[in-house]
Order: sequence, then structure tokens, then C-alpha cells
Amino acid sequence: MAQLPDLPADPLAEIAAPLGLSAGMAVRGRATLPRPHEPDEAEHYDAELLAHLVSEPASLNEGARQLRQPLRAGLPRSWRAVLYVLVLFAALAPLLVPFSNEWITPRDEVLRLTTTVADLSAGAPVLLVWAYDASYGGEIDPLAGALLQDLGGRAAQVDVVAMSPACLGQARLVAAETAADVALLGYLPTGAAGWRLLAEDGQRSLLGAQADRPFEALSHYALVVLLANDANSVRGWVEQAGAASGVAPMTIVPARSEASLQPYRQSGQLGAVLGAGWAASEYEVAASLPGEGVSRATGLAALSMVIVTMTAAAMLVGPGRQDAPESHR
Amino acid sequence: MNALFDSFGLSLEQISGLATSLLAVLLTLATMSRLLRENLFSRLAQLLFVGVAAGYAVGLAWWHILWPRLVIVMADPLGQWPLTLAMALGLLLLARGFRPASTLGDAPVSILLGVGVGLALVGAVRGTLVPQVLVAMWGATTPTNSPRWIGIASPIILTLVTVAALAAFHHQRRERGLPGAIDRVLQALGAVGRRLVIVALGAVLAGAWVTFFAALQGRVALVQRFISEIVALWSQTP
Repeated sequence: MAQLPDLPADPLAEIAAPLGLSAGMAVRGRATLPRPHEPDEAEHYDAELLAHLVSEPASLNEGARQLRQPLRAGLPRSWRAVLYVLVLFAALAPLLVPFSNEWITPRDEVLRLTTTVADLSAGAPVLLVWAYDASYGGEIDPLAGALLQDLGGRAAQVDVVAMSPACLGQARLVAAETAADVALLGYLPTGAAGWRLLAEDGQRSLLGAQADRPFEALSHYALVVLLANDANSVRGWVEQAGAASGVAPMTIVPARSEASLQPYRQSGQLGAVLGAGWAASEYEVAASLPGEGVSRATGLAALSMVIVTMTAAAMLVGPGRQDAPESHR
Repeated sequence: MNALFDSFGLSLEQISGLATSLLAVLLTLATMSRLLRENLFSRLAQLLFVGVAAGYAVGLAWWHILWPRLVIVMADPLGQWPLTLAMALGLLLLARGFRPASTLGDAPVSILLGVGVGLALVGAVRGTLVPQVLVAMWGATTPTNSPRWIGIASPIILTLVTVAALAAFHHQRRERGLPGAIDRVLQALGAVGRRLVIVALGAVLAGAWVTFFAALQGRVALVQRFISEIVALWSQTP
């Protein structure tokens, strides 16, 4: 057992200095405590961080698992410049390396149109429903021009009904470059009402009529060709004019609309669906016509090469590929 | 002026055609300059396009539609009563611009909407819904020279692809029992469906690329034709 120290005689003798250190600290020359230094920036930051940690409620995203850091949007300037130059080069390709006819094989759809045109008798009435304007002229004009040239060669009597004034202007522009017997009958209002009028009351409703020939009923024509801006216009024909008249036209549309119209071709509501972008060259080859289409095909081939090259480059060293981090929490 | 043109050996038609082509080329280059960055010329071309398009539409509506009919109606308003009625409805449409009288415009708007919806609805049923359902049930028409099995396989493939694409949007996953088994099957189909959707989007994107590239080719051809014209005229000039 530990021995208890001796108690002072007067237990209240040191009552004035209750702490043991008091006596030592009271003497002269005692050690002075260093002044606390001013907190630096890092300590301020730590303090703020600690305050945030203890005061902020937990985020709802705390349990979220981020699999991959978001990719940088858009291409760097240098990549973009290279892409522009390559696409421009592809567009210029027809001037440098013209395509050869032997490299192009017409599809069944194109052959069906050329055969139908070839079977027309001299003076047979043909109706072109012109539902595209200058904004799609770059793509559809070569095929429309080749078709008009072919119809002119068969001495067909071509009537044109446009679906807007701008479409009528485009028809006039294309027809002026061919020798076909073309009558611009005028234009109809756009929308469902215009398509219905075309089937039921075309002659009375035509605006801007400039030709001597009257517009006949749709069933009067040996061939009806619909040249349209987009799939919606063709759907307008199918649902209004086609349903009312039962006529299934050959259809020429931009390449981007071709796929979405295939169901109507398969149901027999459209005679054929041709994407003008690639069908122009096929038509020229099938009908043995000179034209822009074949040379444009060179551009498409060059574009394909550009796309393949850029896709390969993007997959190997493209943005987001080099520094994609591992999944982390 | 003609003497000036003659001194260059050019006719008025040639000068006019050249000026039109030059304007088209300049506007094309101004629009394309936006590829480098937004600039004054590209913005000017856009504003010009919007302004000209609006002016053209107004001019066309007045000279081709409104004025010829106004002349007919003013000559014999009662005899041409259907046209008079249509004109009156058109005037009522203007009332929608003034709040106190805006209810007057309800009648023509209702007629427009009613006719539009009626045509669209009937057309969609007659032209799309019924024929497409019939084709889905009885099979699509295939080219005459294609093998017979294509005609039989097409609806089956179409159905499978549709189911797989729809399954790609099924996200529920139960763990146990029959619902869990169904979910696992749908998950597997959905994995196939997602790839099919990507392939379909790729095809649509390719078509869009061809369309936009064809537009670019058209513009490049325009510039090239213009340069050829200039060179040809230059070589003809004495």
C-alpha cells in the first residue's frame, strides 16, 4: 500500500495558491509561452473545409457512382479544320478524278423507273409533282434533269404541278436546261388540303398557271413521278392524293428520307422510292445519259473514304479516348 | 450603258446572268464563311435570306392569291358569295390581333383546325394505318425476281426487330419468380435491340450526310461553273 504523504500542520496554509504551479510561475524570469502564430492560407482553408464538413448536410449524390468522366464536347479546332478540309476535298473530287460508268450498278428501283420511261409511247402524258425547292436542288436537280432529258428523248408530254411557288420556280429552272416538252401548270397550296385538291379538283385550284394545257385527272397520266423535299410531303401524297385516287407514283426524295418511306413502297402505295443522292448516277448509267450524277458519285466515294478515315482516327486517338479514366467512386 | 457592255463584247443578257451568278457565289461564300467563325458576312447573308423570303411570301400572297380574288369579289360580291364568305372569314382572322375583338377570330380558326384535323385523321387512317396493318398481316410485296423465302421471312424479321427495339426501352428488373424470368429475357432482347437501334440510327445519319453533302456539292458546282463562265468570257473578250 502506498504511504500517504505527511499532511501540513495547517491544511489551509496554501489556500491562496491552490494550483501546484502557482508558486513556480510567480517567480521572476519565468518561461513565457510563445505567441500563437497567425494561421496561414492552408490552415484557413482547412478550417473552412472542416466547418463545411460539420455544418453541410450530406449531398443526395453522395452514393452516386460516376463511371466515366464526361467527354469534352466538340472537336478541337485543329481536328475541326482537318475535317472541313477533307470534306471540301471530297466535294472537289469530281473535278479531279471523274468516276467511270462501269463502277456503277443501277438498283432494281432505278431500273423500274428507266424501264417505265422507256416503255412510254410518243406523246404519252406524264405528270411530275414538284414538291422540292432550291434548298434540296443540290441533291435532286441532277436526277430530275436526267429524268426530264430522258422524257424529252421519248417525246413525252410532261405536265408539272408544283406544291409551292418556290417549287414552281425550281421546276422552271431545271426544265429550262432540257429540251423536253414541259408545261408548268401552276402550284397548289401546301399541306393536306393541297394534296387532296390535287386528287379531286386540281384544275380549278391551281395558282400561277402559265401553260395552255389543262390539268387532267391523275388517272389520265401514263406515269406520275413525285419529287419531294422530305418524307412528310410523300406521306401527304399517300394519305390524301394516293388514298383518293389509288395512283402509286414513282418517288424521288433526298437520300435521308429514303429509308423511312420503304414501308409505303412495300405496301404498293408508292411505285418506287429513289434516294436522289445516289440514284442520279444509277439513272444516268441505266438510261445511258450524260449528266452530273456520275461525276457527283465520285464525291460520294471520296466522302465515304473521309468518313472511314475520320471514324478510325476518332476511335483510336479521338477526343475522350486518350485520357478516359477508370471507373471510380 | 449598252455601249459600255458592247465595248467588253458582252450582251445585256450575259451581263445580267453573270451578275446573278456573282451574287449567288458571293452569298454562298458568305454563308460558308461561318465555318471559320460567326462574322458580319454570314450574318448578313442569313438576314438577307430571311428578309427576302418574307418579302417574297407577302408579295406572292398579294399578287397571286388576294388581289385576283378581291377583283372578282368587288365586281360581283353576291354572285361570287363563296369567295366573299372566304374573304370575310379571312378578315375575321385579322381580328385576333386586337384583344377586345379577338373572339371574332375564333370562327375561322376553328374552321381551319377542323378541316386540317379532319383531313389529317381520315388520311392517316385510310392512307397509313389500314394499309400498313394489312401489309404487316399479309406480308409486303417483294420484287418479282427475289426468292420466295424473302417474302416469308420479311414479316418475321420485322416482328422480331420491332420487339427487340421495344425491349431496349424496358428497364424494370425483378429478381424472383416468373416476372424475374420475363425481365431477364427482355433484358437480353433489349441488348440486341439497342444494337439494332444504333444500326438504324447509323443508316439515318448516313442518309442525312449524303443529303447535306449533295447540297455542298451543288454549291461547289455553282462556284466552279461561275469560274468557268468568267474564264470563257475572258478568253472571248477582244
